[in-house]
Amino acid sequence: MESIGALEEIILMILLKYEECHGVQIAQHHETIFSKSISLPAIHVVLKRMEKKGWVDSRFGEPTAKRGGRRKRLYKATPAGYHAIERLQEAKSKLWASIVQQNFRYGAN
Amino acid sequence: MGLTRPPKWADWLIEKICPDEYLEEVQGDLHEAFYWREETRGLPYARRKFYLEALKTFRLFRFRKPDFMKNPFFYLLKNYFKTGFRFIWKTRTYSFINMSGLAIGIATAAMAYLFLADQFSFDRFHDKSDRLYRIGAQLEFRGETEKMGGASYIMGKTLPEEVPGIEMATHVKNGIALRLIDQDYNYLVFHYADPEMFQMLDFNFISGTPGAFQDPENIVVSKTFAKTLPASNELRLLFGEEEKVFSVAGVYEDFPMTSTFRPAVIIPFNFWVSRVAARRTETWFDINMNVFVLRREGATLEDVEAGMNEVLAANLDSDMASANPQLFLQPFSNMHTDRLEMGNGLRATANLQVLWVVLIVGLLCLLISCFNYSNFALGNFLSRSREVAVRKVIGANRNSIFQQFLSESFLGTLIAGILAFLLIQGLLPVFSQFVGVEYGFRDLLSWRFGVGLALVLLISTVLSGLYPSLVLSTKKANIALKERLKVGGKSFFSWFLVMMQVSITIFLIIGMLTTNQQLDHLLNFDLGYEDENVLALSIRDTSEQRLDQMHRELERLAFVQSVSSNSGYNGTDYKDGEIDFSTSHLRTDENFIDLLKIDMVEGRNFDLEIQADQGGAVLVNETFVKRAQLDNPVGEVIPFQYGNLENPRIIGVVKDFHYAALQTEVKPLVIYTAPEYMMQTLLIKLNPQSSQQEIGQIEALWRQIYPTRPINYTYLEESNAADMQTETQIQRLARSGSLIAILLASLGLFGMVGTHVRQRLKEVSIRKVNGATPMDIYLLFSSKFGKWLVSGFIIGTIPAIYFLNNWLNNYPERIQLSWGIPTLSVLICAVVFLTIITLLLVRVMNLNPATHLKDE
Repeated sequence: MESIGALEEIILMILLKYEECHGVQIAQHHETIFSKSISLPAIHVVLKRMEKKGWVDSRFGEPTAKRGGRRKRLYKATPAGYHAIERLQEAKSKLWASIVQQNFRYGAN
Repeated sequence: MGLTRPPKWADWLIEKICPDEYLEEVQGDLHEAFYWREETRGLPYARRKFYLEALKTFRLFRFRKPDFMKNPFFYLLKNYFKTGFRFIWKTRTYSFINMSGLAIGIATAAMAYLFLADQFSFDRFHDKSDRLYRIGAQLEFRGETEKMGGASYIMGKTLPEEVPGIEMATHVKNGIALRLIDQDYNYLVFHYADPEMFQMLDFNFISGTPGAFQDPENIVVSKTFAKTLPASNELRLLFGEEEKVFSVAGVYEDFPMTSTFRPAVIIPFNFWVSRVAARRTETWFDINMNVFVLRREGATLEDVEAGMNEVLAANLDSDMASANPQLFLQPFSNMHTDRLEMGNGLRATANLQVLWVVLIVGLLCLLISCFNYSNFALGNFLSRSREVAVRKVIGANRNSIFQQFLSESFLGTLIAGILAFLLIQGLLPVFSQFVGVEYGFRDLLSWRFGVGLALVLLISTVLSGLYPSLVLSTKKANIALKERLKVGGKSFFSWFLVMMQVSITIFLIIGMLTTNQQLDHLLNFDLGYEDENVLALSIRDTSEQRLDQMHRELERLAFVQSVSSNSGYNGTDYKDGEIDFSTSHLRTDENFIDLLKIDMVEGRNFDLEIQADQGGAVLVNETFVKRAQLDNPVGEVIPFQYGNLENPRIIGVVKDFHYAALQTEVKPLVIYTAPEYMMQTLLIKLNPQSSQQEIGQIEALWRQIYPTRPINYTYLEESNAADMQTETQIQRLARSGSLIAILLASLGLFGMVGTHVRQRLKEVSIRKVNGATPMDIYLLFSSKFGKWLVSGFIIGTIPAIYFLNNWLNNYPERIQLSWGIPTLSVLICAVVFLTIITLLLVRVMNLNPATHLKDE
């Protein structure tokens, strides 16, 4: 299986949740979820890479005035993208579940 | 929308940095994000972010498509390759057979190339190799010119001084001495050389240096030899009875295997000069060594040779004038392949005949496979006329069809090229063993090989692609849709290629059978004596007493039938008035004739009882009698003179026997017992089935009598067979070459007939419905193939007979080329080809007409 980068994973999940998005929407969702800003070209690079791997698909959307009359490119996760992330998430949650929940908040240990 | 706009020059920056294909999306996104950020976090933040992200768009460069990919032609090419692949896959069995055929041809030629490149790379690794020569001398002798590699000491000393075109020169001479290793004496071959040699040739010293190289006791040795030296770095050698101790001053890297001159031990030339009589260093035509010469830059070879001959003419004794002696320079790079009469230790080991055969076999195999490939690809392409028609209807023009088929045929040859590489990798170890030279895959990675391979692929592409491209691209679409183009029946070109293949195959098979037969003829030839169970020991000892003792001891052994010594065959002149020829002569003993079972034609053998035989009696062979024009040879006194043997009386005539290699004619021979020449070879006739243990007894005896001499023996039968090495090599090459050829031609025919048959399935079906019997169908196809096969047979046979007749004329003892061999070759081909045709036709003969008539 091809390895998934951390940002790839997050963007793929965003695409799975919100179906079709373009770059700015992804950045907005990212900010609301993580309350942390993210650079757009970083998102673009990840999208292109995932498109090459076949995890996402894209098509041109309609132009808007805010974009200076430029079309947006709308991205969508593919079944292959879903399967790529599915196994990873299963493994992660299994691992998380196996961890004894500890309270680190009060400086234990 | 507010009044604010994204910063202009940052926008400009994006347009500069961001790759074109992503510009619209990325710039749009950045603009949109600018307004969104301005709304949520304020203008300064939005601006700052915009600048930053504009710069960061350079990261998208990694996803930029290279410029050539944006070219529409590239998309077209991609499409061609895609259809090409699909087509190859659709006809995969045939395509695979076809491509592997080309791959076999390429691999064969590649290996031939490897071998030839290696053979012709000899002695070129020296920096100055294009200016290095060795001196050779040429003498005229009874109308024949004899070229010898070698010079005399005085030539090497005087010529560089007096000929301005010679920059420097060095004497090089082989020496032989005994060396004690673990209680056993072994012969060591070493070289004498002048200090100039280290400047002329590429010596790479690992430790020490030759220094001035004047002190006779300070020598240099090769790295491999240095490993056999004791810790003291001393080399002890026995010259006759006298021991000399040398100290090693330097160790150099061994010369590569592709060097004719590979010295292990080099001793200063002074050593030789100090130990020989002055006469040896002063006589102009005492040719017994080599002289390497470095031509001065700017001087031409002709000038140097002319200068050398001037000096020679000024110094020559008058008695040499009749031989018209001339000096010449042999380029270093020719030493390996250019065989001279004499080498003085540096002999050409390659045989040009063998190299030629390798070249021809390699080229012919390549040619067959190219024809093969083209022919088959042609048939396959032409069957696609309907596809072409559709493409044309859609709007393809003539050029694009042309390009399509050329690129497709290139795809095929490319795959074949890759297959060839794999094949070569697998076959190299086998081939290395076959020719006895170790080759690695690395040897192939030279630019010359790359260019050669590219050329072969290009030629096959053009041959296989050009014709169908032309035919298909010019065909009118409506016609092509209506009728199918056919291969075979009307296409002269493809049948011409089949015919050429058949003729090349026939050529090679005739070649193989003839060399086979000639070699068998030579190996089984009645030599005129029996070489079975005869052991030949080289003596290399001057004492006649020890030899006598050896004889007596050997004769006592039960398994020894007979013992005889001889001097080996030497040459001299024989003059009797007008009659003048050169004759061989041999000193031996009375056992010689019986031991080798040589037939006497007249007279008698030497007899110990008869006093007169001791000094003045000789045996001659039939050729001698003929050349000396003696009517009644026995009892005749002849004016033969050698040493103290003068005017001997002939007591017997022996039947001609082949004492020299069979490739030469039997020369006149005089046999005597007078002690005019040192005994050099000891022949021992053993009982049949003598074992290794018994040979051990002979070795023990040898050690007892010659404690300081290494034993060195061969079976006469084996050394006679070794004389046939060239012929054996040619035979093996011809054999494997013709096997590959017949395989390739069969593949070609298989593809050809297969395509032909597939195209006419419907026709055959209709014929069957109308009542044609399987036999009719068989004849329908095979008569057409038969015509071309027969013409191929004829075209192949004629040049084969011509070339082989020329080759056979080199041999005095040769087979007669009869019609047997060509007939047999044709039969072999015919059987193989007819089997293939029949196998393919069985399918057609038995087909059910319904299957092929129901569709469409």
